[in-house]
Amino acid sequence: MNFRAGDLVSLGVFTAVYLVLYFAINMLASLTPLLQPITSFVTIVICGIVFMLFRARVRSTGMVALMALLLGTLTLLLGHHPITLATALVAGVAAEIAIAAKRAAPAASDVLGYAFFSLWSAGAVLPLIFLREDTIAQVRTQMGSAYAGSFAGLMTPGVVLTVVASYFVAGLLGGLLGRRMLAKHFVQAGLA
Amino acid sequence: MHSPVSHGQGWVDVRTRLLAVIVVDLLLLSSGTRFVQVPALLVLAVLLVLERAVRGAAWIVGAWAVVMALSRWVLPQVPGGVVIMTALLYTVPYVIAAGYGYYFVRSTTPSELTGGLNRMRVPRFVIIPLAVMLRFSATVREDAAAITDAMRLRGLVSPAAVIRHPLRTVEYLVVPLLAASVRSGEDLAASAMCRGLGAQVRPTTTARLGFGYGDALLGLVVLALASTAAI
Repeated sequence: MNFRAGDLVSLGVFTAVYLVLYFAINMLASLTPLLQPITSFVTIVICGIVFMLFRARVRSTGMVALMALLLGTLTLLLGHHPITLATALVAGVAAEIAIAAKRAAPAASDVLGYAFFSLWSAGAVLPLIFLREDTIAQVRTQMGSAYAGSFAGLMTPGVVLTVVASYFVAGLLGGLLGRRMLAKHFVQAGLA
Repeated sequence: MHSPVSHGQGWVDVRTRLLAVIVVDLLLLSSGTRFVQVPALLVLAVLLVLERAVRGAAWIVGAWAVVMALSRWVLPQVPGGVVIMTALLYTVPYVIAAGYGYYFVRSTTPSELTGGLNRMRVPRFVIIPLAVMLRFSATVREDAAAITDAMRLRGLVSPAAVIRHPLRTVEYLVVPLLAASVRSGEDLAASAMCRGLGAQVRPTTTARLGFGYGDALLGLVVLALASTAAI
């Protein structure tokens, strides 16, 4: 656990920017929870820029996993299901593994790493597969039977898996966008 | 450079506050009953007033009152209003939880947070990012607002631009934000390391820490809230 203090400060800075963007975009979906998959997709693509600059500046092992854990813990306090801690951990470790393959293909490994990293927020929708009965019962007590019925009909396991896959695809796109922004702006500015 | 938060009458140790906010958040957002919402909202209002955030308290109580009034009297009459009503009621506990988060952020300085977490022997890789985020989130939001204004002034960012050139608009907003944040972050890291961040020893702190009447009172209030959730 020997992280450098400078790296940890950078982690705080980039996570702050990530969260500000995350909330700014997801606030647009606060009116209908049904818009969430779209705003999540957009958020992941845009935050690819943040992630890629973070990677360019901080290359120590474990920082990406730590960022995923930090995001998982903070959003837990703001409403995500506790399983988000587990998905954040898994996503972070998977991202680290993908990044560690940088000898094979340096550019692709970072993009793949971000794609795995983006799965950290899958905890919001995963309970609909694994704990389906409990989650729907919870929705029923909170929102009534009619809403729960249409909710269950819409959020089938197939739909949920598609949403999670979309996070991964968004991560790939966001990673590519991030690398393009790196090359176009940050390298010239001397920040990468 | 670092102006201390004026605590007014309701001073409570940062560790108690952190625990209280976490517990109340979990109470609000768990699959328990809804009875905890109103008491939690009232407690939040009192806490915010004690922190001299009267406008925040008024805002959140007012917003809740409006939502409740709409749900009870207006929306059942409007066709299709039931759907809007359930969506609104769904977001209420989240808004209250966010309000508690706002209370914590508003009442805690980075040095207080670092001091309290160091006392609890929390590892460094937890303390440093959290303290930096506490210090930095306000700066990031201000920078984002300033950059959006600047870009809007130049005609580069507008609702039409978001639709017609989404990627370009994002580029004009996010890239300057990151550049500004990285530069501020470098200054922040340098100043923190001048003050001994990263040393092997747990630093002492000038922040006020310790158990007092406020902590006991807050603890009892949180216990009372927890018991309402068990109804």
